[in-house]
Amino acid sequence: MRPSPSLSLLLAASATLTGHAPARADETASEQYAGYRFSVYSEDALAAPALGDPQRYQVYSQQFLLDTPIGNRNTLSVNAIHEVMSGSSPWYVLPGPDGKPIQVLSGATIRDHRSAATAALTHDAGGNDTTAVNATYSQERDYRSVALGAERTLPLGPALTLGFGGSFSHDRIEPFEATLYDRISRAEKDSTSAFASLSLVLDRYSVVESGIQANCQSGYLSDPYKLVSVGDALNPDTRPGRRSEAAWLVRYRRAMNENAALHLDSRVAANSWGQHSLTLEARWYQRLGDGWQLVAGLRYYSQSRARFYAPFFVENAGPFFSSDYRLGAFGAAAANLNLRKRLGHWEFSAGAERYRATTGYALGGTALADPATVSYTRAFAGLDYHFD
Amino acid sequence: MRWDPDPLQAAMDQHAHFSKEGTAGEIGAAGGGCGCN
Repeated sequence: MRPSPSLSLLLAASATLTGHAPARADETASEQYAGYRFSVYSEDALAAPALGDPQRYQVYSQQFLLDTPIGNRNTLSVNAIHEVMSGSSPWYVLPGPDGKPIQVLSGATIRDHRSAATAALTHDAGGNDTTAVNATYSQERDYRSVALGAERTLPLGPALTLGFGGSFSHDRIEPFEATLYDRISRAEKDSTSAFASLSLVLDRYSVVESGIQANCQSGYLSDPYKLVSVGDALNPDTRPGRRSEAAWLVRYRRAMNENAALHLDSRVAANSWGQHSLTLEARWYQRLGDGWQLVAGLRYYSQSRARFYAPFFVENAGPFFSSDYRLGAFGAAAANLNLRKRLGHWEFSAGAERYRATTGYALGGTALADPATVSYTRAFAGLDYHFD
Repeated sequence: MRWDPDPLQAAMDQHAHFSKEGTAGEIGAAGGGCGCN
C-alpha cells in the first residue's frame, strides 16, 4: 500500500493543472514564475429608475506577479496592481411618487486610479512547515492603505496540518471636494484579522480544509461620498465606528483523474452590523490535450441587510443610517470560463465572468429592493512565463 | 502551499467580488484595502 501524499504534494497535484507545482514534496521553494493579467470590468446600466450620469463604472486592471526562489527554502513573491476607474457611482436614493426608490447617481463622472504592491516572503522548512510574512501598500488619489500580515503552517501528523496567522492594516481617506460637499476632510480606520485552520488529507486524491476567521475594523467606516434621504433632508452616510465579523470557511480539492480536478469552497459569515452571508463556489479544471486547459466556475453569494440600512428613511430613527447597496440584502450568481494554452515556458490565458446581483436572489427574499445593486461583465487575458 | 493554482486570477476575482459585497474575506493574511469601503 502506498503512503498517503502530504498536503503540499496533493495541492501541488491540483496546481499542476495550471503549472505551479513543485516536483517533489521535499522540494520546497515554488518554481520561478512571472505572470501578467489584464482585465476590463464593466457594470450594467441600472434596471431601476435613476437620475444623474448614466455612465456606469468601468475598471481597466493590470496585474503583475513574480515568484523568485531565494536559496533552497525561501520564496519571494512580488505582486503589483494598477487600475483605472471611471464612471458614475450611486449617490443617494429618493422615494418616488409611487413609493418605489429612485437611485441618484453622482453627477460628475469619477475618474481615478489605484496602485498597489505586495511583497511576501515564505520560508518552507519542509513537511508542510512554513512561515510567511507580507506587506502591502495601496494608493488612490484620495485613499492610502498599509497592511502587514504573517501566517504559519505546522504539521500535526502525516495527514493533518494546522494553519494560523493574522494581519493588520491602516487606511486613510481624504475625500475630494470635502469643503464643497461638506464631507469629512480626513479620516482613518484600522483593520485587524486573525485566522486558524486545519487541513486534512482524506486520501490520495482529496484534501479538505476548515478554518475560522475573525475580523475587527474600527475608525471611520462610513462612505464619505454617499448621502442618505431621511425625511425631507439629505444626511451623510453614517455607520458605527466599529465592525466585528466572524467567518467559517471550508475548502475541498479533489483530483478526479490525471486530467481533471474539482475545487469547492464555502464561506458563512456574520458581522456586528446584523449581516449574515453565504458564499458557495465550484471550479472544474479540465485538461484538453496538446497543452490546452479549460477552467469553468460557478459562484453563489447571498447576504442579509445591515440593521441600519434602507434605500431611504421616512423619518429619522438614527443615529446610524446608510443607503449603500452593499449593506442591503441581495444575492448574486456568477459564472466564469478561462481557457489556457501552454507553449513551452509560456502560458496564455483568456476568459470572462458574468456576475448578476439582485435582491430576488437573496436567501429568504427581502422586502427592501435596492435600485443600485450591481451586475457586471469582466473579460480578462494573461500571459505567464515558467522559468523551469 | 497554494489552494488556488492561479494566484493572479484568484486575486482579481476576489477584488471584483469583495468590493461590492458587505461581508468579505478569504482565509489568510489580508492585503491592503481599497477606497471601495
